[in-house]
Formats: sequence, C-alpha cells, structure tokens
Amino acid sequence: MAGFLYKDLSKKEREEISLESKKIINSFGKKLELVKNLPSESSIEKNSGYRLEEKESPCDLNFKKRILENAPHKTKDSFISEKKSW
Amino acid sequence: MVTALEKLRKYLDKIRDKNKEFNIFLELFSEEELIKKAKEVDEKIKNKRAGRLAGYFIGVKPNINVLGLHASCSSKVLENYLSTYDATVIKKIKDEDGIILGMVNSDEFACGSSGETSAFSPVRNPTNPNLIPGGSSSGSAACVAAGFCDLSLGSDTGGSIRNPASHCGVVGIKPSYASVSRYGLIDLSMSLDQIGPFARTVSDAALLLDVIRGKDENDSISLNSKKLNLNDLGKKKDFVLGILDFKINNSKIQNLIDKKIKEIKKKYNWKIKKIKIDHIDLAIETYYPIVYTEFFSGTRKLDGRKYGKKIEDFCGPEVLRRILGGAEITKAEHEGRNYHLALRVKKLIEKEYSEAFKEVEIILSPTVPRLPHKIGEKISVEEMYSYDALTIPSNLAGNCSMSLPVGKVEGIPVGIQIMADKFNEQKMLEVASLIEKTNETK
Repeated sequence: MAGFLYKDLSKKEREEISLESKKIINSFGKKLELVKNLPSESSIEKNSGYRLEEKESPCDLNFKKRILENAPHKTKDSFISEKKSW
Repeated sequence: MVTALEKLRKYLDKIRDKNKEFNIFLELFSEEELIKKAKEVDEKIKNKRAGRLAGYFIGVKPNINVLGLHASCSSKVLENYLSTYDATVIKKIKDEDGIILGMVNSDEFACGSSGETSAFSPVRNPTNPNLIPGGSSSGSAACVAAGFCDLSLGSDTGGSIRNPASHCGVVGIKPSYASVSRYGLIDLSMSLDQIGPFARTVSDAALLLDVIRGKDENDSISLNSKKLNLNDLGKKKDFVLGILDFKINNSKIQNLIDKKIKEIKKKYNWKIKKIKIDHIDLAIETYYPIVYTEFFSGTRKLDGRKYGKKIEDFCGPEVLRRILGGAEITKAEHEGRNYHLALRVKKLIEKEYSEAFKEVEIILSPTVPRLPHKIGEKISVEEMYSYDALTIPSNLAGNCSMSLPVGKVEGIPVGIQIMADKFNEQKMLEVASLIEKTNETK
C-alpha cells in the first residue's frame, strides 16, 4: 500500500520507490510481451542513442551562480530570457 | 445583465471565503489588476467590441505558462519559476477577452489521479471535502465545481481532465491529439498530452474549446480543425452509439450509466451497439511505460541549473516513481525495449478504435470505474492507476472524449464518457448536449 500525499523522502523510501518502479515496469512489460499480431517496428520511430549508465557527475554549484550573475533579467532561482535581449 | 466587474467581485468573495477549505487557487492576479481588466471588458461590451469570452473568468492549471504567474506545476522544484510568456491557449483566451483569474492546484507535474501529490497540500473535492477531487487537473475541476470561476484549463495525458470532471460533477473535454497547441505546456508525456477545457455546461466548454483549438506554428504537430458550430448543440439528430464492452467492479456506477443509456435511447431513438476493443485491458500496461519514459526525458532539463531545483531532490513519491521507472526503461542494457513494445501496442489499440468508429459514431462508457477515496487513504499503486482504465484508451488512440455529469452514487457525482473519432468534436458535443438536456428535465 502506498500513500500518495506529497512528503520529503528518506533514503530508505527512495530505495523502496526505485525497487517498486522496476517491479511495475517488469510486470507491465511481461503482459505486453504476450500480445500477438503487433504492428511492425517500422511504423515506430526508433532512435539509436541510448543513455549509458555512468557515475553521476557532481553538480557544479558555481555554474548556477555564474549563469545567474550573467543574466540581465532574473528571479531568485531562474533567469528570464527573451529573443535578442541576452 | 450582470457586468464583468460584478461577477468578478462575486467570485473573489467566494474564493476568499472558501479557498482555504478546498485548497484550489495557488495564486491569483492582484485584485487591482483584475478589476482593471474587468472594467476594460465591460467597456468593450458596452461598445459592442467584445470578444467571445468577454465576461468569462478562468482558472489555469499550473503547468500552463501565464505571463506574470508562477508555472510551479504544484511542485517545490518550480515554486519560484515565474512564467516569462503566455502559452498559445492563454494568448487565444486573452484575444477573446477572457480574464485569467490565477493558477489552480494540481497533482505535482500532472503525475497523479487524485490531486494528493501536490507539494502544496491536496486539493479537496468541493462536493465532499473529505474525498479526492480526482486528478491530475484537480484544481481545474474543483474551481468550476466550487463556483470560483466560469471556466478553467487543464491538461489530459491519460484522463487528467475527464477523471476530476467526473468526481467533481463538471464537464471536462480532452480534445483530439494535435487539435490544441501545447506551446507553453510543461509536458508530462509529449505523445499523449492535450490541453482542454472545464465548464459547468456543455455549451460553455465547447465555446472555450473552439477558442483554443487550431494550428500553431509553435507546436509542429498541431493541426487545423473545423470551426465548431455551437448553434447545432442541443438540436435533435440521429446517431449510432456504441456501448463499450468493459466490465467494471462498481455495479452502482455501471447501473447509473446503463440507466442513462436506456433513457437517451428511448428519448432520442438512437441506435445502440455493443463495441469491443480487444486490447483495452492492456491500456494501463501500455500507457505507463510511455509516460515513465517521456516524463523522464522531459524532466532532464530540471537539473537545478536552468530552472529551479533538481527534480529528484525535491519531488514527491509519485514523481520520483515515474522518473526512476523511466530511467530504468532507457538504460542502455534494456535498449528502451518496454517503451517500444508499448508504442506498438498503442498503435494496435489506435487501430482497434479506428475499426470501431467505422461501425458507430460515438462510444459511451463510465468515465471512471470507481468512486473517489478519502484524502490520505492508503491504496496500492495498481489501484491508483486503475482510476484511469477507461480514460487512457482515448489518449492512446488520439481520439476526442469528454466527461459529462449524469447523476450521483452515494452522493458523489459520476460522469459518462463520450468518445468520438479523431477530430469529431462537433459530433461528440452534439451528443453530449442532448444527454445534458435529459439531466435538466429531472
């Protein structure tokens, strides 16, 4: 049973959600695999570039600071950019 | 005749009085600004220069950009993100003198079917504040049901307009895919999302739909559609209706819908046929791999550098579930297998609906197969996802569909889903307006 109310998530809860989402995807995938007479793959656009699992690169906190300093118009957490006004 | 200014004051009084109880509006334009706009509209009406939406006040789901308001998506991730432009639908509303009141609450990033996942506390159902209003366009349905405004905009990816419309007892339309521009909509799933209207009557919902539909150069998939003939709504015509062959567990909902179908068949002498969609049982299993993958892809921009905060650090459980599910599907080792499989089943379901619409003009079913639960009640993910079992197929097929209130079960509003083939909104609305007439005569 899951609660759907918004809340801050602990590390343990995050791990549980990760396992749960994998379980859901696998169970849905298994049911879809049983479908016969599917339309051919040729009617579905398929891209070749898949994401490779790599170690997450650390977030560059200065990047955000720099880009906000550089912006002519900004709010606390985001910049406002219009065509030709940058 | 009531002026726009008088109407505005009535709405603002009601919002002041009841918004805390229902948690619907997140943000309003300033009173000063709204009064100025209402006076301008009244002046235009006096001079006979007013647009089609003059005198209408409108609430907007917070995943649609409105210049000067926060497009927060009901999330802490974007709570400080102030829109820098108007979405195409907003521009069209303003061009017709509609007045935007403010942003309403919703499920976080439109991820949910209950209105509970908002980071700014759940929306409450105006017909019973202990119950969920449905979602994800929870506030959009609730603001119309609570009498806070005339109309509202929501977005529908798998039922997010029709589901809360059903639970709150209002009219909600999901237009055909590509018939309304998505420019300015913060996407959940780009191959399924559509913006659509809520209203208390079919004719008001049809009017807003007619204003916002049409091709937009900023949304390359958008297409032109025929102008709706609003004068034909309510005129008796012959139709061939299909009744969806799908068993739901709540017999009270099914009985109410069956009774209504019997009533309209008798009153209008419409032909009725049973319609079977072979793979409708797999709609949920087809929908979620697509949504997980496209949502994961769409949220990669929310890395804390360009907009707001990093999504994974600040989102709630349902948003995280979808992101992690999407990350899993798109891992190189899986080659997006489940996504591509789901796309192929989507095609199959689309084809089955095309075949069905060769036999009938409209397909009817309950909008939601179950009654809303209590806010905060623990239910399984599967149970939550099952709320949309009957609405998802229309998104997968790209058809138009809508929910119309037809009665109550245990005091809770229940809607009938009226579905038509792609770009057959006129036919769908004509049937809806005739069914609506049978509600009025009670």
